[in-house]
Amino acid sequence: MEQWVVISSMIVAYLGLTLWVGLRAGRGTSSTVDGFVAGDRNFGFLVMYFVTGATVFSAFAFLGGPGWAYSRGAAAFYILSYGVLGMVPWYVIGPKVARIGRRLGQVTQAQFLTGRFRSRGLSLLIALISIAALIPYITLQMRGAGIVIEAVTEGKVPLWLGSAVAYGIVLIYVLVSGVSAVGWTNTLQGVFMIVIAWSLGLYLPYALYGGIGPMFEAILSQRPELLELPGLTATGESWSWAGDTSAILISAVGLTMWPHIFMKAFTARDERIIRRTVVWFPTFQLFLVPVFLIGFAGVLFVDSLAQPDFILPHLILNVDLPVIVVGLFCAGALSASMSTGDALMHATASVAVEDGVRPFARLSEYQQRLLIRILIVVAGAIAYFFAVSEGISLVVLLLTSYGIIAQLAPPVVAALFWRRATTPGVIAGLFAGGATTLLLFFLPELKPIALHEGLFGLLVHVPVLVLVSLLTPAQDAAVIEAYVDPPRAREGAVPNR
Amino acid sequence: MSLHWIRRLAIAVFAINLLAIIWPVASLFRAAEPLIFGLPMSMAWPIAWILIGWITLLVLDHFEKREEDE
Repeated sequence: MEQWVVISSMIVAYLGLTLWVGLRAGRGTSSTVDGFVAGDRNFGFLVMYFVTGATVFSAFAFLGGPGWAYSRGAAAFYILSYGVLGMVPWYVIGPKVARIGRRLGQVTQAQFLTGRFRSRGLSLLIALISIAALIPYITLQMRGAGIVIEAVTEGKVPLWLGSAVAYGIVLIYVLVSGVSAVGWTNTLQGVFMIVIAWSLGLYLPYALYGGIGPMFEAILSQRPELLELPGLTATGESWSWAGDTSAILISAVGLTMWPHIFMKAFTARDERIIRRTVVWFPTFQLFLVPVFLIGFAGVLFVDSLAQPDFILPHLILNVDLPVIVVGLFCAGALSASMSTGDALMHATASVAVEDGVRPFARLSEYQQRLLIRILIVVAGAIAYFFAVSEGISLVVLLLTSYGIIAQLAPPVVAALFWRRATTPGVIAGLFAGGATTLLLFFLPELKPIALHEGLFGLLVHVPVLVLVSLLTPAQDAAVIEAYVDPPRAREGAVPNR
Repeated sequence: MSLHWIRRLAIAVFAINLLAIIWPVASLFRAAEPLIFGLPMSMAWPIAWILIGWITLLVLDHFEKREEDE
C-alpha cells in the first residue's frame, strides 16, 4: 500500500474517533443556553485541565513553535516564559468570576462586565472586539489543519479539502453538543498533543544527532547565534530585548482575557476545580519543550525554508520516519488545531448572540440556541473563506489582536477589585486603550520605544479608566458589594445547579 | 506558617519570576553555555521558572485548600 493511503486512513480513523467522542459528549447536558454555552457548569477537573491546556496551545504552537525555534532560535523561548505568569492571576480571578456567573446565570465575559458596569453599548463593544480578534484566530487553525493534511498526503488532499473535512467534523460536533463537545474532544486531543509532542521531541534529536545534548553541541558549533537570547527576527537579524520583553508582558496580560478561555470559568463545576486547573497548568506548558526540540532538530538537516512554519511537516516527511509516526504526527497537529478551533468557533457565536444581539432584542431560549448554531456556521464559513484565500498575513493580525484583547484586563480587574470604578470610566479606558493600540500598530514610527503597541495601549488605558471614574459619580456601594461579594448566607439560599 | 504569609510568599515568588524572565535580569542568562541537562542555559532558565511556578502553586493551593476545608 502506498504511504499516503496509510496516512490518510489513520487521519480518517482519528477524525472518526473525534467525531464519536464529540457527539457522545452532549448526552446528559440540558438543552438550554446554559447547557450549550456553559455545559450546565458541570466540567470536572480532568476535562477543565485539558480544555485549558489544549485550548491555549493551538496549531500555532504545534506548527509555529517548531518554526520559530528553527528559524528564530532563542526568540521562541518567550513562549515558554509567559504561560505560567499569564495563568497565575486566574487562580484569584477565575473562582470569583465563576461564583458571580453561577449566581446570576452569566455565560460570557461581557455579561460578567456589564453586570458591574451596566451599559448595552459596553456589551456591544466587547462583542465586536472579541469577534474581530477571534475570526483571524479561527482562520489560522483551519489553515494549520489544511497545511498538515496537504503535506502528509503529498498534495493528494489539497488544503481547501483538508480544512473543509477537519472543520466539517468540528462543526458537526459543536453544533450537536455545544461546549460539552469542546470539553470532551479537547480531552482526547490534549492527550494526543502531549503524547505525540513528547515522543517526537525526544525521538528526533536521538534519531538525527544521537541525543539532545549532542544536538545542541552541534548547533552551537555551527549556528551559535541561534541559541543566545533574545534570538533572531524572522529575517535573521538579532531580535531586540524590547521586542522579547514586551512580547512576554502583553501575552501574559492577554492570555486569560481571550473570550474562549475566559468563558471556560463558567463551565467549571466549582471554584476548587478552577484553582486546581491553574495549579496543574505548568505541566501542560512544558509541552512546549519537546515542540522546540523538534524545531531545533531541523536546524542542521533542513536548508532554509521559505515558510518556516512548515518545518514540522517537512522534517517529518524528509527523515524517513516509519509511516505510523507520520500518521501520528498528523493526528497531533490536527488535535492542536481542532482543539483550539472548536472552542473559538463556539465562543465567537456565543458572544455574538449573548452580547451583541440579546441586550437589544428579546429572544426565547430556543431562539438563542438556534441563533448561536446559525452563527457558528457563519463564523466557520467566514474563517474558511479567509483560510483558503492567499495573501492575508494572519499571524500579524493575530499578534495585533493580542494587544486589543489585553485591553479587557483593566475592566476585569476593576470590576472585581476597585469599587470606585464607574461605567463611563471603563468605557473611556477601553476606547482610549484600543485606539492607542490601533494607532501605533498602523503608525509604528510614533512609538517612543520599540515596545508592543498593546503595552502603550495599557499605559494610556489605565490612567484614563482611573481619571474618568474619579470624575464621574461613584456607583452605589451596596449594589457593588452585592455583585462582587454577596454575604455567604444569601448565596447559600440560591440552589446549586 | 499561616495562609497570610504563604500568600505573600507566593506573590513574592511570582514577582521575582516576572523580573527574572524579562530584561534586564534575563540578559544575565542569555548565553547558550553551559548546557544544562543537555539544554542551552537560555532555554533551561525559563523552564526552571515553569517548575518553580508549579511548585509555588502546589504549596499555595495546599494551604488554601486546608483553609477552605476548615
